[in-house]
Amino acid sequence: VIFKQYRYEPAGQASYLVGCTEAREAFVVDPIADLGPDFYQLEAAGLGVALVGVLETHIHADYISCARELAGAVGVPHYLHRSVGDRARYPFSPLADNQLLDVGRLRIEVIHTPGHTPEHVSYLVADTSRSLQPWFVFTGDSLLVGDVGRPDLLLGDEALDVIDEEERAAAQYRSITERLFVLPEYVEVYPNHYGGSSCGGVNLSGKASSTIGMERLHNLPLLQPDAAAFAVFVQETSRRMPQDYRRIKSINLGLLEKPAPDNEPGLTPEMAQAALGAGAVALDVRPPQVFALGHMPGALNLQFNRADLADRAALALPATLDMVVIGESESVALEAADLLRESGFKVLGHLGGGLSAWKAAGRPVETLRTIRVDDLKESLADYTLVDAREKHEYRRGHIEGALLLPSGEAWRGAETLAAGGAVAVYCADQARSALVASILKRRQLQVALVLGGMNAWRERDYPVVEEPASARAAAGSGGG
Amino acid sequence: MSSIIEDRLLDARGLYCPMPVVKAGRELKSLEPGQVLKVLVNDPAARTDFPAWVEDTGNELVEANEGPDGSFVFFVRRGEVEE
Repeated sequence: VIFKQYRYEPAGQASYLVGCTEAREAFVVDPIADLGPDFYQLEAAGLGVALVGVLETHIHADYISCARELAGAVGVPHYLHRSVGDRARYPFSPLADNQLLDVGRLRIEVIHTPGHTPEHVSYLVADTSRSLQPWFVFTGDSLLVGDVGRPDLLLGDEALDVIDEEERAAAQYRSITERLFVLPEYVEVYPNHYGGSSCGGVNLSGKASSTIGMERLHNLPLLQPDAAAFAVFVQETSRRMPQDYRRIKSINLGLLEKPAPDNEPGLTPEMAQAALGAGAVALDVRPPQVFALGHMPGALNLQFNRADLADRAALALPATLDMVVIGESESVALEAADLLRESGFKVLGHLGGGLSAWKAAGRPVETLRTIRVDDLKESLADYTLVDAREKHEYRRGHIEGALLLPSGEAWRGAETLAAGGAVAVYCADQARSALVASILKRRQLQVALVLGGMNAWRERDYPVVEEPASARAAAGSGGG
Repeated sequence: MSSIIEDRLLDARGLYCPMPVVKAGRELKSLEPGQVLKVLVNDPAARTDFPAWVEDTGNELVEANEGPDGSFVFFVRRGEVEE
């Protein structure tokens, strides 16, 4: 068997290439546009296999599919359950429940598992060179690891949605308990989503595979006593709606044009340098630990989080700043730039090719010193400590002698910070502290970022200073 | 499950600090004194830090529970406004 799982982290999305080593033929399952048709074609070429079809479990609502383009480019069928019907404005090869698809020695059985969407199918795979028994199943957004696909991503048009949220929840329960949980418990589960994906709920695991047995025993939504309790549980534990899901779903149905790829080419290192020279700041949205290893001179670090990146930027930085965005990947940088623009920042663009393009152009890179809490404890006398959390957190326990400089006040407060010598900045983990450290570093201070922050400090039972409750402030005053 | 009925719900799960308290502060300001805001948070430090914030801001923590998914559920009554 040929089996490849491609995890696309920013969307918590998994796509697959599965095929037969003897026949040298393979299917791609649920390809994502962020990776693109070329990626899957290159993978297939690299493995020396011919693609013979593109399978989709359903019409996706939280990422743009490239199944049509991939199938078209290779000239192979694009398979979807037949109940998609004419809701999709493009031709596809319709599948029926229990239909068998053969690729070399692999036998793939279509199992209609409506719930997340009405046309949702799972693909049960047997490698007949080993056994006629099923080996693994692509569950799409029906059964997820620790969770289930949400039933509430509707377009608000009955003709396109077919069944409503309530019916979808009931169908999801039946599909999983009556079609998937009846499979042998050793059958491996490969879902379409994991981790931070908003198609699942808060119990969605960061692990992108499981088994039927494990999920039957420990999947919380499915441990509910009946379909009604399941529906309530799923609703109460769902995450916020994926951003823009109506538009994405409309694109995947062919109702809307796809955004042109690369419609916003990145800034070249030369352009980025010129922007910085004219007073723009580099906003680096990569994780602090990665930022610390190397970044553009003077860059600020604000870790990407779709739900609140723009809010945290608005809290901490003046709206008048011109920005150049740096991300781990092109798509994260583009999304960060969009989110920041929507909230009123002037984003000149993102650094095309990210930091590696910057380095390749021979531009200078700065690092940020990091220190672990154990080392910090042994060298407290060497540092002025800065606590980047809020006043109430500081009051509840801080490291002795630390100065309070909440992340939202650091841009203005940095000037007045009375610190000679080296400064060590901490917060609860290292997200806020990395922002404050990067701000202080622009003031030419010698700065170290404390990795793990107060959470790590407390875990080790290192000493903290507490202060009594402060005098009552006005009701609802935000954040301290 | 709580018997308290909230006047407004804030789902702050998945937000990075300090957005949960910033957003809770904004929501409380838009409520009348005595009204209740229900806040969902999943930051582990929230267990102790969120009640400290409620206390410091002159509001009242009516109830605190742990949700089925390990997140926290806080019911906060808006305090009297001090002019």
